Amino acid sequence: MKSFNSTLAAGLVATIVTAQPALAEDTIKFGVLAPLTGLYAIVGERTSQGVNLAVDQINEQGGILGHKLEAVIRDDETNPDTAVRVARRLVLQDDVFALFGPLHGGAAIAVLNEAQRLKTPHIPWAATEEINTVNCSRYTWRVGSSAQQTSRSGAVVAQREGLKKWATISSDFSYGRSVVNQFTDNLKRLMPDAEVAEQAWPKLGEEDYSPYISNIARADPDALYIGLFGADVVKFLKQAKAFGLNEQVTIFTDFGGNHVVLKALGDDAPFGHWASSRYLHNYPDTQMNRDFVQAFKATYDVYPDMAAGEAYAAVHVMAEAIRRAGEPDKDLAINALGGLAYNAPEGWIIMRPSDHQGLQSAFWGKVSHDDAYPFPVLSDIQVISPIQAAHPDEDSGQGCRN
Amino acid sequence: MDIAFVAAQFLNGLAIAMILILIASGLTLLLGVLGILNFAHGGFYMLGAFMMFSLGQWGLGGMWFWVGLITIPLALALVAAVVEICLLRPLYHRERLYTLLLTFGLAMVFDDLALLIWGRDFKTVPVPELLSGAVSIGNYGFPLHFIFIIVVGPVVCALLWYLLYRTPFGKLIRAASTDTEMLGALGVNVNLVFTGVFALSAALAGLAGLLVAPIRSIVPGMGLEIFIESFIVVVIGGMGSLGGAIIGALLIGQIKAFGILALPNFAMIFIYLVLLAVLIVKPRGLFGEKTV
Repeated sequence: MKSFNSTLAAGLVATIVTAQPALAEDTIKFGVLAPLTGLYAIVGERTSQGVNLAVDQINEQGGILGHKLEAVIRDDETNPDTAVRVARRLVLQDDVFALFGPLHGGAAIAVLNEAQRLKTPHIPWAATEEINTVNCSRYTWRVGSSAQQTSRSGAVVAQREGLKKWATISSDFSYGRSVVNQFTDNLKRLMPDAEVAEQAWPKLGEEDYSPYISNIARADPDALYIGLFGADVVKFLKQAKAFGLNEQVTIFTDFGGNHVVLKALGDDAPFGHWASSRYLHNYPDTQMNRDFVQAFKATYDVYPDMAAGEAYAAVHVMAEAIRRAGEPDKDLAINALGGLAYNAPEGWIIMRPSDHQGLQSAFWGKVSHDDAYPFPVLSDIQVISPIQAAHPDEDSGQGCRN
Repeated sequence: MDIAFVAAQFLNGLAIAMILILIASGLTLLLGVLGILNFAHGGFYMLGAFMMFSLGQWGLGGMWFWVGLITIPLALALVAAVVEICLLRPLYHRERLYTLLLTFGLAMVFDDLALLIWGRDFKTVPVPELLSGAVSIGNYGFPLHFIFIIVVGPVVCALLWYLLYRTPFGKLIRAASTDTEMLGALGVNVNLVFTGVFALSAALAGLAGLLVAPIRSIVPGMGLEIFIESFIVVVIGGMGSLGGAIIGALLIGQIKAFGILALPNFAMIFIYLVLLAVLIVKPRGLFGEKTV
């Protein structure tokens, strides 16, 4: 027994002595927060896959400045308290170089504040606009499109289609409200005679939208803008189709072009109607995107969705910032992020210094069948440049506090 | 406000109520007879939906929905009976807190089980062919599937009433809800009654889950939201009262349908206002006597 104990102790000491400094010196760690359980578990799974693929590819090509890259992925339970606790542990215990996530807007802002205190670079998944406006911080930069980029570009398509009388529906929380408010704001700017006849704000996770659907039909709009997120989009579109709403109005679904949504809906997808996604596996048809889709499919046997595409790009952007900094120094990497341009699968992303937002084109397309895929995809893609769609940075509140 | 719109909203509220009745009646029976709040109740609702998804994948020659309508509640009753006998029964003689903790844990186990078996993807099943399409009420469409739900609700309620008030087993259930110890002293196998009620409640929740599967998205965790709403229904109706649960569900259904017209931004507030009002005026709920 004694010998067993002393062997164990010796082994432990050896592990601590040998492993610990080796890790700290040679490996750069990225701490990733994602919803691995609960309603958004699928988003967390795709996020993790996107991160891991990027990390593997970077390591295959020799790592970052000779350092091996490692992702430490943790469940944030879609909860701000958990997210902050996990973020602190990632920085203080696991000694991560940068934080990524979470998806939940409130949780992302909580982690943003924590990242500032810990002076650690942070790239959130959440698309809430407050991250770039009132909460903008030196250490937090968003690589993926913000909510306003997608929904403001929806207004550009609306104008092209000449749709004047609108109804909107979105969940009653910060992201849901900002999506629709940015859409109606840009709609009225582009088409002063446009009218918003009905606005519905069901709670996040509403199970039954039938009263809202009948109420939207009563307003008799030309078109409906849907700002719902995740499983809520799937539920709403299924119920809207059952009620025959697809035949009565033109539908714009902000989150509806996301692969996981279209795949889930299958034959119940709103064919012929407009939908958007911040990343599309079938557009743009560039070498970069084809390679990414092929590698992702080969590794995970599924198509990359929006979360996967954004996570993949985010890891590469942070890696590029460290390379430009010349050494793995948190503050130097932050300095290198401003103005950094990265050719991501979804196209070029330029990190705008004034509000820390990665500018990129937005995609809207029509939901349709494509014989190349066993699920609905977007076609007739409309590319809306950030100049047309992004929030003008002079509007972004007090600018970025340092 | 045209009459067709009012009719459409009324029917929307009715369909919501029917689903709530199916879930809340089981919840309230458990409270009345076993005296436990079953946090895992929403899990059976979720499993019902997931099982319907699997049947939809297999197709069964287009009969998947109708096969599931019969077999899923039976299968879930069986699962629930096993859970009750193996896990809940050993805890009845302990403090109530233990059963509460156990069902809370079970709720998470069910979610993770669904994650393991079916994966994290959002899932849907199509509306069964016979029930696809909609009827028109003036300018408003109303899906046939919702009409089916509105028909199934009262049929199940009638069957439940028959079971409780016209069968020997029903008599035992009612007796157990009044005085379990006395029933045991009279030589009745109370454990068997408990198992039966637990299985019945799970079958009802599963039935609700399979009915909504074609019109909602099927994800692990979907049971939580409906559990909270059903619990509100049970509290409004009076814990343990079946009639109360039915009235409560009808009330909540109509509030959800018409509340958005009065205050579109704060429609949810009406449900909690009603809950508050009921708790202030009748703290034990509308039908708060301990009867079934």
